[in-house]
Amino acid sequence: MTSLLRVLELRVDFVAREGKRTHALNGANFEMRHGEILGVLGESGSGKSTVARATLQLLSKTAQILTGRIELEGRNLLVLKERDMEKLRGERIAMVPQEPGLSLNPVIKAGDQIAEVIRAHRGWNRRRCREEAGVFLERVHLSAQDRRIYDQYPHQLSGGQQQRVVIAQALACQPALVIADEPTASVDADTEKEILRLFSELKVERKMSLLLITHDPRILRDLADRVVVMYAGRVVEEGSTEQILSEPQHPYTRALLACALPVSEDRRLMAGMRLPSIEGSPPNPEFVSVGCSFAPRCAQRHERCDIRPPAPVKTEDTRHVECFLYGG
Amino acid sequence: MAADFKTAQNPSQPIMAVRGLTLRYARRGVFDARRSSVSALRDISLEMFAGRTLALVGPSGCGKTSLARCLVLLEQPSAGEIVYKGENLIEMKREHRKSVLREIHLIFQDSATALNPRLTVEDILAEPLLIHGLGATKEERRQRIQEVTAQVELPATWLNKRPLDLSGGQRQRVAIARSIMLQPRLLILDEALSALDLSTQGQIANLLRDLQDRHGLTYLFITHDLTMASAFASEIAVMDAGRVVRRDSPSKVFTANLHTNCETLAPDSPSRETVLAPLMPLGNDE
Repeated sequence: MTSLLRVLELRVDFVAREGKRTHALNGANFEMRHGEILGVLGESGSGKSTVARATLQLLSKTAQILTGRIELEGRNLLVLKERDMEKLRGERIAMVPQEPGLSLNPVIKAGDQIAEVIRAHRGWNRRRCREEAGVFLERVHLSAQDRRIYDQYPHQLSGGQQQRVVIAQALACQPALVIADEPTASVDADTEKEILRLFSELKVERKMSLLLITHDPRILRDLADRVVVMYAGRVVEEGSTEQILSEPQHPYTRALLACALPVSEDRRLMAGMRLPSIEGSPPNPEFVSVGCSFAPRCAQRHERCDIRPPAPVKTEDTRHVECFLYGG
Repeated sequence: MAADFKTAQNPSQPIMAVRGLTLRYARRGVFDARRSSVSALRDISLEMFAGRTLALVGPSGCGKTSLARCLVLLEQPSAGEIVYKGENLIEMKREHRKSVLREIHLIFQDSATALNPRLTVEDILAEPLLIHGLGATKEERRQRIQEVTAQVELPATWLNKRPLDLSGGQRQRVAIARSIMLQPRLLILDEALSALDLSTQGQIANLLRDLQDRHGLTYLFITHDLTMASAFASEIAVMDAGRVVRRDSPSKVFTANLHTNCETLAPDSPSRETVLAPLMPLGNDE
């Protein structure tokens, strides 16, 4: 299968006014195929959202891309002019943000916000855009027939409905790649299930390629094809969902999965037990660690971990891990 | 009813008992001047026992946060009573209520907006002491701050930082430190872990548990995360559409259906029609 998105050796710093540098990405590498759901898993501050915003070229002005390439269908996005990038955004790459309530315009009707995207990229007349917007509302199971949802303003919709409108907006131009940044972080458990079910339907029906960013491995289990695990601005492990979630290799991945409380059998035994957590906190992004960035929190730390960072090792076909336990 | 709780020091008596609590918000339409009301809470009754954790779960919009705000009187309940250690909070004299509310604290989900961004962590921690006229000298305040920061494992280097320099988990630690400055008895945690990473959730939950063991704190743990509720609480109350529809031990709530969600937790919950009913004008309500 050809690759849809390739991120190569991406390094991004944020430079504050007083010259203080924060290293958000320290050479991130991964690849995504057509029609695949790729989960990006990591704690906050690991660089997940920076990858998403760099791909859309929507990093803040304080960001500096030092090295690397981001290729969409073979084209390097980092050398494109802003005008070309504007055309790609929405049409080839679309984003489902974390807070649907904040990303919708409060004074425009939900349906018109979808029609607006279609009109901007397709240039059709208003009526045709409105009809097309209705089609997409139905695709995310919001009925356009009775015009109720179409004519509502964002504040009249529930969190789940708002999230669906944003998803419809993202799908409106049938983009090659949809990036969803913690799409279920601000909704309750029932709405979360609803949204995840919608994603898996869209994957089957529309062959949607989705980059799904999350800190919660439980979301990925039934949805993602492959998973990349990020820590301190690097991809530390990459493999199929089954490989990563069932037989994690990197000590960080193992510790992270241990934090996801089991959803079933042992639930009753857990009362009174201590909850699993990873000791310490992620490294300060103002400094680049000499050795492995996870070493200070690692249960299997070794002397060599402090001397130099481990190199990626191919442990199986389709599987990489950055850890000295596997060679490095 | 309140008289029954006069002897609340007895451990078998609840530290806080809520009786028939009802909260209505008045509303008025844009084109319709007739007053109507929305019932956010309907006849809620709950007990919290000292040193224990009661989890309050339910779908969004069911009234969890309204209840939390009522319990610290950020909202004035329309009816019912909140009995704390045998006294009804609502009917207390102002000054007395202020000193009683010192023992009850609310911790919010979003620590970034709950902490003043312009103050240093040290100032944030000193503020409750100043407001309640405790810790007269700077030295006394500093000493209390040192005690508390040691308890919640806040590094001393953070004291000069401002909230936005800290990560979400670190900020929530500061919020917890602030809430225990006044040695409270009851903490109301309104989705206090929900915005955090799984690993940080574990760290903060363990910290809360240690504080509970050490000081016999009582928690009302409000969440929509059923897994966390079952791991953390000794009892679970399920809310739906402004009512408490079920109360049980975690094992009983989850025996029937392990892969459950909030809706299926409340089999006897009111139907969709009753959920919409609060939008009716006051006369039709209830």
